[in-house]
Amino acid sequence: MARVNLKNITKVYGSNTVVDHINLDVEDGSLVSILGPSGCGKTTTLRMIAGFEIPDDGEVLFDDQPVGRVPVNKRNIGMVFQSYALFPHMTVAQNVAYGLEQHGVPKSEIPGRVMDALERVHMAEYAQRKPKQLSGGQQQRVALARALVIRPSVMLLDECLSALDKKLRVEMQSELRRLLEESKVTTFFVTHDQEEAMTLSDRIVVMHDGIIEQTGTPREVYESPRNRFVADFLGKADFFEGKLVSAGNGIVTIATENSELTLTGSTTAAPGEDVLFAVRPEHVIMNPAVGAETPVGALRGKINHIIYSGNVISSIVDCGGMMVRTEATGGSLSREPQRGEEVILSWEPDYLIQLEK
Amino acid sequence: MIKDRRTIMTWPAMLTLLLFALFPLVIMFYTSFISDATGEFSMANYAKFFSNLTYIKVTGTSILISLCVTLVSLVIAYPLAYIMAKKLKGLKNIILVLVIIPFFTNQLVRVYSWLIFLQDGGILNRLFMTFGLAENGLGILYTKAAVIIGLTHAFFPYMVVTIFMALERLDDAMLEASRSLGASKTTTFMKVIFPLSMPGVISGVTIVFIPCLGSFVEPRILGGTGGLTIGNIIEDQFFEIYGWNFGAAIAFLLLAMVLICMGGLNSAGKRWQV
Amino acid sequence: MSNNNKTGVLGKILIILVLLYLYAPIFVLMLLSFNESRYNSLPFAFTLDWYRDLAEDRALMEAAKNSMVLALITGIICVILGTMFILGQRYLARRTEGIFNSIVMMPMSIPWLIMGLSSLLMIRQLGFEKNMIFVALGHIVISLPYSLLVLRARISSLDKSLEEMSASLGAGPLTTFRRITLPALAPAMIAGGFLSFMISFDNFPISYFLMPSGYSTLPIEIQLSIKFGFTPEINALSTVIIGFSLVVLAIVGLIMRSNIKSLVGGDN
Repeated sequence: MARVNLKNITKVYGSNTVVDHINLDVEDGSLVSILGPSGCGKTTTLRMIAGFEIPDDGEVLFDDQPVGRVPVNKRNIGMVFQSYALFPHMTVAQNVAYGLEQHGVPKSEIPGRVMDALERVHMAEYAQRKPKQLSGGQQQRVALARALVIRPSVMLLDECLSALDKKLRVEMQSELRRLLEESKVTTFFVTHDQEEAMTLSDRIVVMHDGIIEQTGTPREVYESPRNRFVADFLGKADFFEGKLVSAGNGIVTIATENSELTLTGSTTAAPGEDVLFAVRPEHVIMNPAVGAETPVGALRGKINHIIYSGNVISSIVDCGGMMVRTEATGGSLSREPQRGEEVILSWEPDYLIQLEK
Repeated sequence: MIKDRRTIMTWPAMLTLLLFALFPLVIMFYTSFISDATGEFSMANYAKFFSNLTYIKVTGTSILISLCVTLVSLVIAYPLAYIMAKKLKGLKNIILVLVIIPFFTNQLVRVYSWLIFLQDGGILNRLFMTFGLAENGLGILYTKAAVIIGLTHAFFPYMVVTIFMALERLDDAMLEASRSLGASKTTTFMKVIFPLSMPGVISGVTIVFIPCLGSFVEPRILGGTGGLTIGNIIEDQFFEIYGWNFGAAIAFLLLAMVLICMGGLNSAGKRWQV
Repeated sequence: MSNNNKTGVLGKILIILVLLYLYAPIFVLMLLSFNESRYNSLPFAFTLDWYRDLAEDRALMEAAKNSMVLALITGIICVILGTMFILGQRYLARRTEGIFNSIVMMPMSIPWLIMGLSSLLMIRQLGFEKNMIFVALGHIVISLPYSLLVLRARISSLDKSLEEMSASLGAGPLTTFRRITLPALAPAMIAGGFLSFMISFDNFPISYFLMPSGYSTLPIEIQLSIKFGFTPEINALSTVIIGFSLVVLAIVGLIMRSNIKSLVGGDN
């Protein structure tokens, strides 16, 4: 239960700047996901918060106190690794008791707190088992109990659900959220899985190449991505890039390499500027083309191919050489799209997202 | 970058090795240039070695014996390792252990057992005579053949293990893939199995050839008093003739040979590495 | 299927021949140690005389004691040096790690003849007398790589995150070492120790060059007796040594059960 501030923290390995002057302020008790592709510096950031890595520049503060000189074992953190790192030579109960012993909890209190923690993750009956005798999901729960039992001020979870299979992962997500909210602990959650980040956190920090691309609530980051990377990494997006010709009346006209496009939406850019827009595929409405007329602000194209994935039907539409993806939930379509069919693509003005160039 | 203090833990071992393994080799290199006769710093020891045909010949014999041992080991070890890795199921680990155990029996006991086994009036001779295969015994003891038998016995288990491990790692799905693509069993072996087992073969060859080159106990005991190998010549300099510095020079030449072979085999091994 | 059967039969024959080759001389030797004849001649007549003689041979008992003490010292020091090395090595920079590694593993690829005589030359050049400390150091240097092999196999399966986890749970470095690292390494330390013990116990070349006069070890005694006319007593001694090696090997094997291959170290 602590406020965490990262001030300008930087980590350099050889000639490679893995984390590049990151600033982040995290409120007491909030759940924060650090999201990004592998190699973006998210794990290194987490390890600097934990104290396994010392920042080459900048500092980490817990409740406004710099912790640069505080070793890992004095930071009062709880960690869960992807590999769980349960001690193989100890029973489940001994694993959970370990942290309590290190924190000087009186011997008489330990068994009670251990069982309490195990009950909260529904693992009490396995207290005397060795980690080897547990399934992946069970090991996960023990690892969580072990981290939470010491009542850490900061929880650090490193890809802790990625080793589970999909169904179990989804189950664990909601359970994890419940546990973390109950214990009101400030939590950092490193993941490369956008869905996990959205479900688990109050705020998402998108990292790429050692810098933070965007910070915000899951809704903000998804609906108003700042740039191409964020739009592309969280969910899918169709991009429209070119020089702004004119804008007004809910219509934006841009000049691309070989043609001029009119798009429904608005912009703050001035004519002549390079601009980049994005639309989420699920916001694109696809209608059969009737007649030769294309409404202003809409796109005309031919369905190039169709991907059926159960709940969603995606159609890739060839609009004069530019491929635009649309998505519709299975039930919402009045009829099945056909390959080669002429279609008109349109969207509500608010769904055109202007991205930073 | 900040140097990690925990690396201090490597120093006791490093220091021991530097002082008592590497430093002696430097001293050996230095003394090899000091003449036994005059005590002067010169190339005399090396000149002595290369001007005497006997030494060159013995070196040749050493290399020849080592090559023979390596070849014999390879010929026995490869099929054995292949059968163990690909044909045997539960039994393979037991056989592996049985192959390794003699390697961990005392070197001198092992050589001595061959001495007893091969000697005139020994079991093997008796067997051959009983079956009329040899009239006056084999007369195999105190020949190069005896040395090769003894050295092979000492080192080929290593080769079995390295090849076995290379073959065992080989994914059976790959063999099935090769077969499904229309390759015959022979082609599959030549084009898939054998190339992929090469790293094992090469480390096996290294691990047999090099100690053979430096062997002196087996040749001395099984090969008679003649001094068959370069190892024996070196030994004699230290225990019979007291030409220590000359011995150091020969030892350095042997070391150079070993290092060259290792370098060669190493780069050959890298070529085959996947 | 007939083809498969044929390779099966040929394979069995090969395995039997190889095992015969490996074990026949050793078994004959063991058998002869119970044979009455002084000249290893047949027919076989059972006796334990040679073992009795062995027990009464003061020089051999002294040599056995030396071998034991040397092997024990070697085993213990190799475990300490090896464990420290393997723990510290993980924090070295990549390139340094490579260099350090090739230096500590070096004695594995240099003929022991050269290791022995170069140490002898060093002792003389520096003006020391031969003594048992140098013999022990020689044994340690050549045995260390083997214990490192066993330890490395173990530590590479020891997840670094276990130690980090321990720290995150509030344990200091010493507690982490005592409660997490040491228990994980213990089997490999015991196995590595026994292995170094055995390499030292069996070693001839190093002892041959460095042993001060008036001292000897069992391998040296065997060599002497081969040189100066052998007696069945040596058969008995050899049998005892083999039996002893088997016991030690069995202990190592039990500890390392799943990892017997790392003993031979072909995996690098």
